[in-house]
Parts: sequence; C-alpha cells; structure tokens
Amino acid sequence: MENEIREFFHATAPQPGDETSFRLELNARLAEVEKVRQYCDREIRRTRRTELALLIAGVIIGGLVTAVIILRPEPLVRLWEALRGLFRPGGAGQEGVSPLGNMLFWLLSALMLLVSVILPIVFSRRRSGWRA
Amino acid sequence: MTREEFISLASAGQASLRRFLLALCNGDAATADDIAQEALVNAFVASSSFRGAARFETWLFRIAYNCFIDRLRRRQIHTEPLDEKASSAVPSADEADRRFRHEDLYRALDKLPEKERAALLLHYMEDRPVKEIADIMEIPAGSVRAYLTRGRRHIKDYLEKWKTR
Repeated sequence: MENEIREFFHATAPQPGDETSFRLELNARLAEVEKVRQYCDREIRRTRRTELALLIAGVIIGGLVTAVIILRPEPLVRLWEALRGLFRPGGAGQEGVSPLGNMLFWLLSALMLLVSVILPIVFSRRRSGWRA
Repeated sequence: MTREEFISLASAGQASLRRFLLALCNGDAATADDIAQEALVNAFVASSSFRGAARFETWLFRIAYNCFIDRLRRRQIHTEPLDEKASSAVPSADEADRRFRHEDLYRALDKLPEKERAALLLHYMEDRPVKEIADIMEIPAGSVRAYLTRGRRHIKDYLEKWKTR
C-alpha cells in the first residue's frame, strides 16, 4: 500500500511552470526588499547617532547646570538677578517682586526648558521617520 | 545573508517547494507561484533570524506552508470541488493540459482537509520523513502519523481506480 501510494504521487506529481520567469520575478522582488532593508539600516544608524548626540548633549548640559548651581559664579548670579528684575513692578534694582512677574518668569523658564528638550527629539524623529 | 547567498541557498529546494504548493493549491499555478514568491520574500526578510537549527529547506517549507494557511484563512484560496472550479473558470490551453495530466492527483486530494493533504504530499510526493513534516507543519510527529493514516484511507478509492487504468 505504502509503495503504491508513493508510486501514485510520483507518477502524478505536477510540474511547476516556467522556472526563468519565476526566478526573474523573485530577483526583482528580492532587490526591492534589499533596497528597503538598506534604507531601514541607514535610518536606524542615523537615529542611533542622533540619540547618542542628544545623550551626550544632555549629559554636558546637565553637568554644566549642576556646576553652575554648586559654584554660583558671580556674573551668572548678577545676570539672574537682572532677569528677575525685568519682572519687578518698578524694574531692576527695585524691592519687592510682583506675583505675576514671578509666575511669568517661571513659566518662561519652563517653556524654554521644554522647547530645548522636545524640539531636538521631534526634529530627529521627523528626519529619521522613526515612530515609537 | 546577502541576496546572492539567499538565492543560491533557496534555489536548491525551489522546484520542490513550487511542486508542493502547486499540488496543495489543487493545480492553481498562479496562486501556488504567488505563495512561493511570498514565502521566499518572507524568508529573505527573516533570513537573519535563521540560526540553522533546522535545515534551510525545512525552514523554507514551513514559511510557505504558513503562507498557504494564512491565505486559506483569508479565503484567498478557494477549495471548492474540481467540478465546480472547472465550470466557473476558463483556464488557458497550457494550464488545462497540465491540469488534465495531473487530474488524478488533484481529484484524490480534492476533498481532503488541508492538513491531511499537506502531510500526504510532503511524505509521498516530496519524500520527507515524519519528523521533518512535523517541523514544517509545526505539529507533533504523532499528529502527522494520524493525518497520514487518515489520508491513506481517504485516497484508497482513487488509488484503486488509478491502478485499473
């Protein structure tokens, strides 16, 4: 029985169509896949480079900010006071800070911080086409 | 794996893969070749994940079989009986001739469930051992043996008719 079935299947096995056209089509498809794969590899490398650059920039900026907080250099303290003075009711050098001025100052600082962190990330994602 | 390396590896089992799919699709050459192309492209995309735990050909057959099952689930392959198929579609002269020559096989396989059909084709047409068929179909070897036993019983009648010709 076993041999008969095998004989039947071998005798009636179908022959696939034209080998050349199949290979040509396969080659064309694989070439397309290779192109996409190379593009993806390039983009992944670029994204990794951008991420590395952002990480290094973050570490440097973080280090600088920490150093400034710890050392409090005189010129920066004066600049800080001058900036705060802009939001005082009577201008720089006047006593008493208005609550609105204080709030605006902190809002502006927070906005600048957010823009400096978010913009590079959005920019790098757009360039690389990467989505989480 | 580069494209050239992949093509040289895949070309060894390509004819066998296309024959298996052709019989699995009941002689529908266009669908069978389309599945073969899809399977080879999928295998190329995933070639970096091929670790050599199985033979390359077995791995390729497994991908192709999964593609076939996917299409069957999406109902892109119609498994209506041959008589209905013949009346609803007008094949080309070449295809009609080819189909006529292998009609015995297609008729024998026509009413079998796809797992039985695949097991029979792999074992008797492609001469694959049960262990390898289990790897391709991702089922236990015992299930393959059960499909083969059932399949043998189902095609027995066709075999008798074929022998008397």
